[in-house]
Amino acid sequence: MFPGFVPAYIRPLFCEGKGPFRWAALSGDPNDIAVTDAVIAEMFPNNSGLQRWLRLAKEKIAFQGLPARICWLGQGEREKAGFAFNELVRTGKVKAPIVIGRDHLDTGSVASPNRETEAMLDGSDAVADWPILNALVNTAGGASWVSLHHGGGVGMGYSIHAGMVIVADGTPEAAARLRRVLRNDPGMGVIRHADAGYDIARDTARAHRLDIQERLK
Amino acid sequence: MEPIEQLEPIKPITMYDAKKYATPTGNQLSCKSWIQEAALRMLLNNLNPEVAERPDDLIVYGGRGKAARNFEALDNIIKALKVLENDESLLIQSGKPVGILKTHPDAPRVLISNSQLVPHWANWEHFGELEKKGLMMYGQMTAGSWIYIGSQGIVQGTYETYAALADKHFAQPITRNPQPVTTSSEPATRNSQPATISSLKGTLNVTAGLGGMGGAQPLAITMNDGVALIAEVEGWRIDKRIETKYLDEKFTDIDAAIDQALKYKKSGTAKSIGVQCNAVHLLERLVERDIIPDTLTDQTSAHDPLIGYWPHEVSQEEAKIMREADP
Repeated sequence: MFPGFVPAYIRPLFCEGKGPFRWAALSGDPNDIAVTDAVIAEMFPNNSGLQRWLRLAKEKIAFQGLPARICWLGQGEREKAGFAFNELVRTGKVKAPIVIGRDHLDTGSVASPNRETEAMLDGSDAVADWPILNALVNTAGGASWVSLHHGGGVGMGYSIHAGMVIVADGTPEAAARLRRVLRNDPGMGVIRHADAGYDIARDTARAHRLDIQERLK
Repeated sequence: MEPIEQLEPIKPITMYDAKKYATPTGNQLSCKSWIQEAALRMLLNNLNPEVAERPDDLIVYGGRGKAARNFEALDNIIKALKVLENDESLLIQSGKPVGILKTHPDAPRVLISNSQLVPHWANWEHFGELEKKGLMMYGQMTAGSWIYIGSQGIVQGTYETYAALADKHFAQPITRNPQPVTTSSEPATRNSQPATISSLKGTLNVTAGLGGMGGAQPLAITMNDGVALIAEVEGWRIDKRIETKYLDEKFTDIDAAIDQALKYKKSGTAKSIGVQCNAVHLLERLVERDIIPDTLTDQTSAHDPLIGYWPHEVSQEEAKIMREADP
């Protein structure tokens, strides 16, 4: 039997808090996305996969509806990007606020034993406490809207998952919310995978001060 | 098995009105702050006909994933977002606004719960009954939470999967520096130079199916610098993918397609080729010619025996007649 695409290729990314980070320009102006693309490219010069994606996405992907961009960013990277976008709004480098969100298929926001949480190291595939904690912590942290869903991707009875969206409107209050939410949201994924015994996640948790054991010493 | 497809879609009472539901753009607010405004614009963006699969049914993507329960609920969500104060939160229960409660400025402006059922009743049958009574809505993932952005998400996810695969199996010593996209005049600082670079350059990636999900594959493969060779039974799907620049070339002759793919593999050219044939016939020919692809995947809808699966022993015309006459 072949393992599914998540355990084989996506889970190591999840362990680093990486997942489908996305944002849209509320102005409707494609140039606002070009400005954000340049900021992201500058922020992560060593990530060759990301560089190639940004270059080619610009060339090959037509916008549908509000101009938007997606790229996979990890723990520490998302909060950095969110803060930078808030600065773009504050300083008028983009024409209107930027809305930031992600898919529910992400590191800390889904329990789906046939797909995202297939074959977890500790057998915790069907444990749905994690997406529920994710929705709760994003509510407490001040995300702009938070959702808790059932049955997405694989159908009724097979998944529980949470969504999160946060707006960068250029205010200092938004900056504080962005720092919290874009740290905690992928952080839940790092914690979830560290708890399941993945070494990469344990290293990421230590590096980003998410390891509860450090606090209990 | 895709249980999603078994339910009949509910007939729309109202049709989607492109003018009424057009997404506001620009920097003027129609709500009391940018957070409510963002929710309003992203809700309407999810239903934009450029984005949504079936706006008339409020279906955004993924079979029957909806943005609002019905048109009355949609109108009420829009009204609610416009009156919502900066210290209140709007509650959405399976696509219907059910309350506006006092919270505080740092709290979420909208709290959403979609399609939740007590575990014992968590099946399509019971959900279908509740949906028929107008009590529930299927929110999929980003449909009911108002953050779907179209097919870019699928392309990116597939790109990321192939990139991770290249990392694991085809890492090469670095031969060139990737050129970052930047508008800054300052040189990009590099504190750690990776010792290897991974891509699909010089690899042959064989797959099948150019529908909604599979259509992302040729682009995801060529974006990773690989060669894609893809079997698709239906010629119009190949043409459509070439039109939108997701796919580069079309062949009807299997051997000619294989020859062309091998030529690109040898020269390390990132190109994608669609060949109009059944996946089984492409794979049989590859085996006969003793060609082993570097990667092999399947993105057909063969899990759906009636609509998705094309048996290789039957011609497409015959299969079409059989599907309709004797399903």
